Amino acid sequence: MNPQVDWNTVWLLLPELLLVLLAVWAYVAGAFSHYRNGSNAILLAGLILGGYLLTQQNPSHGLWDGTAVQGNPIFSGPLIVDPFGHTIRWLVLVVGGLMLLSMWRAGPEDLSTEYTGSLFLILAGLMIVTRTDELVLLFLGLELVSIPTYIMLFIGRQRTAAHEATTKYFYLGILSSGLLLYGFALLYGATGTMQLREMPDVLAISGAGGGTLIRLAPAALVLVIAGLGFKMAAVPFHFYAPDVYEGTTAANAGLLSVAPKIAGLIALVRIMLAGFMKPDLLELGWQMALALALMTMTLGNVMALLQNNVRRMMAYSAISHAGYLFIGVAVALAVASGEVSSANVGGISAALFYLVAYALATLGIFATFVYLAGADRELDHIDELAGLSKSRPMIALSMTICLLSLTGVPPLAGFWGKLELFFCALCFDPKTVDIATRNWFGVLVIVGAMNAAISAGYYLRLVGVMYFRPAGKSVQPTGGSGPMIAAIASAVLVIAIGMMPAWFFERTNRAAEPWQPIVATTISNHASEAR
Amino acid sequence: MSDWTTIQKLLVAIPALPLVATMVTALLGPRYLRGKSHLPIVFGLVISCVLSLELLRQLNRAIENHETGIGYETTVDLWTWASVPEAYDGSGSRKTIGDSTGRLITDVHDASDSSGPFHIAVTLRADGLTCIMLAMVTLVALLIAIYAVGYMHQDRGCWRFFTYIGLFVFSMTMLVSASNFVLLYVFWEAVGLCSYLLIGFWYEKREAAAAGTKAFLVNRVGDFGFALALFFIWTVYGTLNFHDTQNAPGVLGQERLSSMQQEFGRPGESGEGHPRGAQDQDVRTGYVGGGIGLAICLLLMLGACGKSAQFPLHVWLPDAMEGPTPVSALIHAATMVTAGVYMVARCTPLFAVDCAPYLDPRAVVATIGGLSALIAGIIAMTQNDLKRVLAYSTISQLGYMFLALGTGSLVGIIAGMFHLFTHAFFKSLLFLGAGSVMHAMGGVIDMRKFGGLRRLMPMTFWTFLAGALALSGIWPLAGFFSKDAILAAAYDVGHGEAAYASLFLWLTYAAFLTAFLTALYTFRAFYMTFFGAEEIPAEAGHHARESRPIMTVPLVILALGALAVGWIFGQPGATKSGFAGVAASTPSLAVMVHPGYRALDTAAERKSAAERKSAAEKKSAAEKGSVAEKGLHQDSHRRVAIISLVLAVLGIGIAGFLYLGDAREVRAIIQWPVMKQLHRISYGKFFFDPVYWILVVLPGLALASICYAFDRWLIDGLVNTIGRIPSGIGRLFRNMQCGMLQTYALWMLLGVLTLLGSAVWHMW
Repeated sequence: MNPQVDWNTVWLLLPELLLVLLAVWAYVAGAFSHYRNGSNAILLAGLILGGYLLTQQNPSHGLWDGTAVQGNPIFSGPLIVDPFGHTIRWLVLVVGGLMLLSMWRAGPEDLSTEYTGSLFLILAGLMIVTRTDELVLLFLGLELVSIPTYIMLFIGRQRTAAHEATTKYFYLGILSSGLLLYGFALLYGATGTMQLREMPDVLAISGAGGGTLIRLAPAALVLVIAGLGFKMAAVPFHFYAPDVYEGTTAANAGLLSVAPKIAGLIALVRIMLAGFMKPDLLELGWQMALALALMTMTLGNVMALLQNNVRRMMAYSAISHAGYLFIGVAVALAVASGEVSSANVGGISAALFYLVAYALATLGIFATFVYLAGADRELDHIDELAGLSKSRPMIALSMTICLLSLTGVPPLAGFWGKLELFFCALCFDPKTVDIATRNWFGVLVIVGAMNAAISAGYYLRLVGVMYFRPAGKSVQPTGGSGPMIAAIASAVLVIAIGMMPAWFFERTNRAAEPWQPIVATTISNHASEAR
Repeated sequence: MSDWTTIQKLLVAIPALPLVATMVTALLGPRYLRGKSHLPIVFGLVISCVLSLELLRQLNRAIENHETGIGYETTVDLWTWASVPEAYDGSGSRKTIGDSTGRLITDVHDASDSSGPFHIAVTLRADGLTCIMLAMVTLVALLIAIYAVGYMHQDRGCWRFFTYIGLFVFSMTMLVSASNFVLLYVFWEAVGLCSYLLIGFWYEKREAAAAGTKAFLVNRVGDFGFALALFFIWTVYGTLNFHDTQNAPGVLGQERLSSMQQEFGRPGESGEGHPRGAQDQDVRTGYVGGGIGLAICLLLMLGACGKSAQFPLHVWLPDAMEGPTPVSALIHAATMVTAGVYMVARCTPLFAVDCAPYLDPRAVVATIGGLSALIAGIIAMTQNDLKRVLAYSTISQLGYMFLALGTGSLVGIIAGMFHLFTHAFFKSLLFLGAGSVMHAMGGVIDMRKFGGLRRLMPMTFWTFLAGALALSGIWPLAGFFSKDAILAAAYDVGHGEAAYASLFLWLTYAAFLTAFLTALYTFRAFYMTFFGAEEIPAEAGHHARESRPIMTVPLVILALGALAVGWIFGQPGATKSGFAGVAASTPSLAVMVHPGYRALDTAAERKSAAERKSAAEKKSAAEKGSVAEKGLHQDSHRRVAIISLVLAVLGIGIAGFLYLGDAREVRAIIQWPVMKQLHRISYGKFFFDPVYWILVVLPGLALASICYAFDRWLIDGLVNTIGRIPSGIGRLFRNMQCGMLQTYALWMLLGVLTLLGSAVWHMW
């Protein structure tokens, strides 16, 4: 398999290339000028241009060359073009815009363009992850997310604690990358191909015939889950999160809580549902995902109850939400393992919706923290929020909306996300899944619902402090208007999704659709697939 | 909307204007209008009032040109509120109910097509009763709102007050123009809410807040009965509409009413010798009697007792005087408390069914009315709070109205409605006068603390005198005509051949006694306030002077009303377009002049059908003649008029003897053993409050504290314990988060190994 890189592939990568070019431009221009507002405005314009390019590449309405994806995705070299990747790219652009706004004044003055340039590399990496069909490119995409993150963590805050946090994240990140790479290597060893779409056939044949290396596939599965679990901050790969979030700036914590999580979830879905498409592997996969979901949700929430530092609390919150995302993954895998041809897209769709709701609300909260802090100091203790409803009613309201959405209060986005997740976990087709499996998912939903109640304990604590505690020493918001706009925009989006969830469900459902056809075509039409 | 008739347009506009005014005041009041919050409300009420009078004129014209049907009604459908197809399963539910009382109950309609939808539309209705009520409500409300501009001008919550008043007028106008029981119930509750809000208007005052709660809770008892009555009506009749719809004949609709008329003339059916002849008549008329019919009536009456403060639910009204005085005048004298009377009058056909072998519901209504009138009259004798005297007087007068409704004759019911109408004028006048006094006396309303105010407040004095004379029933003031008509109606039944004749005879005596007491307590209050040595409490300060014109002008207008409305509308010779004519054009009342209607005094007669028919025709012709040509005031009752007038004058005279000058006669009389006991009972308000406290409130409080303890200690304890579990789990894992990089890496690798182990165990 030697994928040809042709111009078509380059065209398809145009938005990613745009982001990389902007990043490079920012790095170079930063050497000559430190005028923040100018460079940030150009970067923001670049994001908007990227959005325009995305509208031109809608796979459902026709690509550059006029071909539209109807069910079957188009492969171009190492790329896969399907509504799934396209939808995530939109999410990345929106998240990127919100982050750029909340990082408008982050980092030291003389390194500001390096900071934002790194952000754009991360965004480009995320976009690549969403649409790759090849292990090498996937790994490159993931590293394009990780390495600039190290830089951002380092230059975000010039303090010992920050450096300690950076170091921890760096070493553990390297370890997780190693695990992931090891898993990829084993996967390549077991299947002999780098293309994800070709793996199921090899696995299926080997499973019948029985090669030795095929037995490495489960090990590969475990290592991939471990490596990506680190990115999603799933238990037991979560240990870095609280320390790193606490040590770094609020803006960086916001980045950490969203960007790696998107990358991890997307990569996991891509690999598991394209690469490991084999009933026994999928069964192992859903069992692990279910176990991780249970542990991650519960541990994240109970630990968050004990925290007094806002970023540490939000770190545990991010961990617990990773557990919720694993519910969707587990459902998708379980359905696929039961009957490969069954077209249940609920799990992926729900996880995707939940990811959107989570990312927006979390960014809104961290943007608020950025706004309330400043260049030289951070908001640390919960009590510093006291009396915010009086001094900054608008920002307190927007943060309350985001917090309530994370709790899952109707009619906000988080409520629909949780509803859809629980719903898809309960509504298996009884023909495809046996009773024990259904019971396990019943337990999963009960634990999930209990965790939602526990999470209210610490989210509402923040709300209570903001609204019912008299102001102690008043916080002087020095974050500027960028983070404020980001915080309010996030809250507005959370409300908008909550008010018309059907519009978004329709899109996440469409994004999740391609999974079924890939599987069907790859397994049955292996021989006829000439490339 | 464009094809609406003028009547329909007016009918919609009358409630709409107060609603709009309320919303404007509520939105703009606190920030922008503040002290000028009355402007939108008064403006809205002026237009509403003019429109109501125009509606009355239009209706009058419509009645005259109207020939077909029973009475005159017109409805306007606004929108459908709720619609459940096939909700009513007539056959099944009806059988069950029929069996439980041992009586067969069917409908005019065949059982096969008795299923129907539950269809509730926001439909307004204009007929005689509605139009009279609308005109009265909007006129009185307008005058009181103008008065309140002066009365409330210093109050901080001015905008709140006028918002509630606007909301109340909207609800009250909707209540009287609703055309189904559900809408009636909704606005029944809405006026109750307004009453609660306004009684507790000065919520910082402990007594005011408690009085509001008491009014609300006591009303709940009545509303509970009302709601049950609605459930019964739905189960039995399959509709809650007053008017006919294409799905079902309305409970008070033309179809059912006219079937009451036609079926009577069919002698063959009741001549078959069916063992339960009386009930068959009701089957054919389309109204259900027996136990179910009685239950409906009694439950409706319970609702009316709550709202109209009748025995035994009257206890809330005197306490409600804690609210601002304009509220007492508007809600607790003139309008809201008459809703019960209005409702029972509206449901006259339901009360007219034969409930044999049980009680006749009308006897119950009359008894409650007569008892309330007498009890409240006795209590009013000894109260020292001017407003409370008037409150008990209101209960007493409402009792008169129920007594009138209980007579079951057209003359009686119209007399009751007429008394409602005149009472609105003179009672709101008296309350506003009391408010004027209270305003001048710096909030003091205890009559022992002031006196001799006639020179200080001449306008208040003269208008109060007009009101007091009207209330006492002195010719030719308003109260004389209406009260006399009630006494005459009761007297008629008492001297008739009805099964309940002796009961009504006693009730008539009670009513005469009450008339005497009315004059006595009214003038007692009047003399104590305005005569004797001039006495001004310290609280008054320099406020002690006549009220401003904005308060006295409404007093004067109401006084003119109290002087004239009886004379104008209650005269002998009033034509079809007079009060009696308009009221009698209401379908619910118009049916009473048709032969099918079962008057109270023929209930016991079990004559042959032919005899009954001729008797009924004779009677209906007589009634028609008497109502249309002689009006309310019949020559044959000159005797009643003279007795009541003498009693009233006697009452005024005795009051003068006792309370003018030094009250040593009173002190002497109270020493008589009988009078001592009577005084104790009267002063203690018949001990309703302590008895209710022991029987109802204490058990309730005990139960509440048990529940509270259960909740506080058991449930809360359980919940708190469960709540501690998650953070407890968190503490267990806390030590894993030690901050050491190596440890973290170790945990991660251990995690990978565990997963690998499980994979190995699973796959191999």
